[in-house]
Amino acid sequence: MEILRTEHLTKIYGKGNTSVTAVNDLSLSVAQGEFVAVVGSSGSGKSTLLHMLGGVDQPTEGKVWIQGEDIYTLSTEKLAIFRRRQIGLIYQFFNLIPTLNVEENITLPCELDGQTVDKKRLDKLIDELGLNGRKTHLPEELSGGQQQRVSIGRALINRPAIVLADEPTGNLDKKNSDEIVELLRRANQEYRQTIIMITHNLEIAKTADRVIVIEDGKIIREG
Amino acid sequence: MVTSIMKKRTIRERKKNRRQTIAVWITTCIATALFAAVFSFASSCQAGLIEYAKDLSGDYDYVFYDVPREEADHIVNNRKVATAYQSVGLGYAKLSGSKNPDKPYVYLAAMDNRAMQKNALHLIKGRMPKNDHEILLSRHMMTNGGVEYRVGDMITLDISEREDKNGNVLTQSSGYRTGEKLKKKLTASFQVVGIVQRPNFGFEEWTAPGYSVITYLNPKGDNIPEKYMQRTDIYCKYTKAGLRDRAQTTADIVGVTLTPGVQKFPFIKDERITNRQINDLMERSPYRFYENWGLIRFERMDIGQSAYHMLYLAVAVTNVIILAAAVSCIGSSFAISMEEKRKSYGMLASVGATPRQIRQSVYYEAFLTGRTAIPLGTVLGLLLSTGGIFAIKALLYGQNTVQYLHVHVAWQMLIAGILLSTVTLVLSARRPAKQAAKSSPVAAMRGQAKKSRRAKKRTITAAIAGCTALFILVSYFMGVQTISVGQSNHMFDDHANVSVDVQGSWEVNRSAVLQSTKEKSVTEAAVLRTAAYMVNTKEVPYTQTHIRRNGAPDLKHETTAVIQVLAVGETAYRNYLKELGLSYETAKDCAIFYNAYAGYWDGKETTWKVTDYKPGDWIRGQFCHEEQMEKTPDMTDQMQIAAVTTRRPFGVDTSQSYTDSGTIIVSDAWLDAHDPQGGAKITVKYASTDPGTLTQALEKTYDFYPEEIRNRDLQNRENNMLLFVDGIALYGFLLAVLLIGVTNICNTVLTDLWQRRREFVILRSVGMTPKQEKQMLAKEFFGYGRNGIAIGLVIGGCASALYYRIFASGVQGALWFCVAATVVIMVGLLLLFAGMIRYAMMKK
Repeated sequence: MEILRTEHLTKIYGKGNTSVTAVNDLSLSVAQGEFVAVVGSSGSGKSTLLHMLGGVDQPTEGKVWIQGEDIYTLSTEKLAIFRRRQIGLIYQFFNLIPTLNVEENITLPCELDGQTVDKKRLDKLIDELGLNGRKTHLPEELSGGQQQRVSIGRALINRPAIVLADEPTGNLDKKNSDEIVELLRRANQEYRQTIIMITHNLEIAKTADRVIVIEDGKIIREG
Repeated sequence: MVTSIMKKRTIRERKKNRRQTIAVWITTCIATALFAAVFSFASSCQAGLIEYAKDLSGDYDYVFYDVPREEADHIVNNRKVATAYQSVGLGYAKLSGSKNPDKPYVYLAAMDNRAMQKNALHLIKGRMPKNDHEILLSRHMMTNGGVEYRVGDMITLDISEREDKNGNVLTQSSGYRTGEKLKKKLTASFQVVGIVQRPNFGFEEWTAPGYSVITYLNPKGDNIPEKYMQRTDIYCKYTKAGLRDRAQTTADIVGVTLTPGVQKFPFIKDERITNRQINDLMERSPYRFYENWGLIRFERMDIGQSAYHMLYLAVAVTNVIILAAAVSCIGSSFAISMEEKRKSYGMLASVGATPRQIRQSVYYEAFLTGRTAIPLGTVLGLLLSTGGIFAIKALLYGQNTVQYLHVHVAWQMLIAGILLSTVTLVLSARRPAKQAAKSSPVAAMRGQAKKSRRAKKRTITAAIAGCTALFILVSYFMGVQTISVGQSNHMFDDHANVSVDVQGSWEVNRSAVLQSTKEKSVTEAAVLRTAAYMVNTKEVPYTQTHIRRNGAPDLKHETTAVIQVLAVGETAYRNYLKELGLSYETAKDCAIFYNAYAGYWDGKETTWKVTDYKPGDWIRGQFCHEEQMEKTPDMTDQMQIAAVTTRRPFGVDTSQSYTDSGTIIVSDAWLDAHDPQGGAKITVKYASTDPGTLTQALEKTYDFYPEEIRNRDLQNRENNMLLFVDGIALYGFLLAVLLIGVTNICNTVLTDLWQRRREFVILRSVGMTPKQEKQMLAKEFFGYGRNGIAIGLVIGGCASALYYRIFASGVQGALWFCVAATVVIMVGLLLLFAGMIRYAMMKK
């Protein structure tokens, strides 16, 4: 079942002679439960693509459907609500809220939604992320790998339709990188979580079900 | 509704950003304190003025005279009448031995305890009557009427009704008429138990033919049968709603339709229309009534009253200044805080916080500040106002109205202050909340934070400009006040330090006036009586200078003019003639022509000659009085000029020589012989070695109206002290606003330096020395200061010029205060920036 589709997605920055086309007429489709890796050289437009898929950057042209919803027809308020319920975002630099502890950062999307958190599920998730004993720690008290685990937990807590990971291992050493990728794979396999991950590391990309290669804002190869 | 996670985040962020949090808290607290102090002080002043007015003129708004007893309930029970008390006018009795032909009677009224208390009767001796066999006398009866009674004496009165020649009943508002009769009702005897000061104007007008005497109101008493108490005077206090529409309320009470008056604004009554309606009601009302304007004007403090336009304007302007300063400072702190958290807001947006939730978290932060700062600020403001009131009472101790000043907190004012503070916080948070809600998740992910240095520069420049402008305006205002007070203190150049305007005729008051000039502390005195002498303008040799500079009289259209005739009392006149080198015998039947006119020319005060009269010249004319002014008199009188001089006698100041055609100074005997009706207006001037004692004697011994007695030494001291108090209040207020401004500047500058620390590190790493770093900062700060002061000078200068044009065009020399203020601001800024540079260098 198709969970994400884009049609003629384009993003142009600037105007006139100084304009840059980061994404150029890109169409793709992702099925539910797929683990897709997007690779490309620096400046190829992969991060821009991810931002547009995540609803945080308005495309210049084109559409993005997630679960049949054209997300860029939603108002700012409704898009934010959609994002916290249906999209999980994982960043290279973790982007945790510095004044919230581990548990609070993970449950942030639920709290923003006014939902009561399922304690059992939360504890299980924290356990799976290997963060037991760190629940009340602030981000500055965690290592890079631990912070990224928190970020993954935040992305998965609401069981979103799709998880978008922007270079999740870019800031980590090999051991932590492997652990993070393993977590994402397990989420994909055990919970049929659809994941789109950007990486410049081909070894990591090979672990995905599908690899899309982007260059100059276009898909040049899929496999 | 802010979610609990956002609340937690906000609380923790506040603890993390302590400087911003404290800056916002302090500013909110100061602004709230100022609002509370302004409102509390205003309500205390109003309460004090009301107490003063009640004591002076009685605790009632309207009095309806001679209302039939059976109609009294209709008035007393009117829903717009809050409280009422009654006094019964029993009648008149001949006062044997009265020396005042205009006041041959006593007027007997009966009052209960409440009425005696509310009617502002001030006991001098004895006590208030407790039954209808006891009586209070007015001291005025003794001092003016010349009939002495003591406490304990018995007095028997033939209580009667006054009737005119046609049998119409006359009341206290009708002065004594030749040919009127007394129709006796009953005879009653009373024991004198107390003596009071002359009652207020509402009870006894100065034209009233009877001196007030008061017994106890007891319809069941055995001295005055109830059948003589069929008419009553009803003193009413209206409700707030009744006072708001007092013309309609009064019309309802008297049962007369109100003449229409279209008010321009539905909620603001134009007092001129209301006064017209009241005057019209007075003419058509079945009962005579009196409006106690002395009290109403303070109870109402109506913005429609022109007297209060200035007051309301002052309060509004003060609050606007506080609001603007506070919003600017708090808004700037919020903006800085928001900028530092921009990345955090972007992250929140990226995980699904809606713009609304982000906005609400900013407002929640404002709420957290307000919930402690506003109550504490309110308490501080009340303490400030209380302290201020005590300080004013101590500094102005002895001044008439100040003793009534007391702390009074109207709950409406308190609520208004709290509301204003809340509005300040909300307005301050509005823009930062909007900007936070627009925070870009993309920018957050890229680790970018938009720094707006231009906005910070604007904030600093605006704060400096605002403080400068305000300082200059306040200094200019104080400069004008200082010069005005100085001018006022030296306004009278007649060498007198006490004066009194005496009400009544010369015959009646002559003895008391002359006796008062012989008081022990009086070294010199003048009894001034004026009269009007009408002359033909063609016969007056006006100087060309006078015609050109004064512009009056208008010789083309006016055929007559008035020369003021002034009698100064025998002793003062003799002394005057001696100074002029004239003998009394030669000059007593002549006139001395005072030939100087003081006016403004070429922007400064100067004097010039009015006429070219010479000694020996005759002035032909006619004494005339008000009723004759419209028709040209026969000019059958004449007076010879003994001397022409620019010298004034004791007691005559420059303001008294403000007539277009000069002033003639004559002896008492001459004036009495040539104008027996003249000299009605009596002013007595004294040079006294003990003005305080003399003032007391004039009031208590000679029974002159206290409002007409002026102790200039005391007034000058009070003026100076009031100026001092004004200065403390204004500069205190200025200091508080400057504190807000300085907090804003320090917060913005130091935060900016902190945010640019990486830039400084890079500069140092490529070889910038500490000295060069200091110079760079000094240059930057100089830019802020130069721009801010320049803008502030322009705004402050324009505001001062506007103030000069509207209110102070007669006052010269206040500009120097602005120059001094500018220098102070520059020095202050220099010290502030030097301090900040030092601090920044220390924090490497």
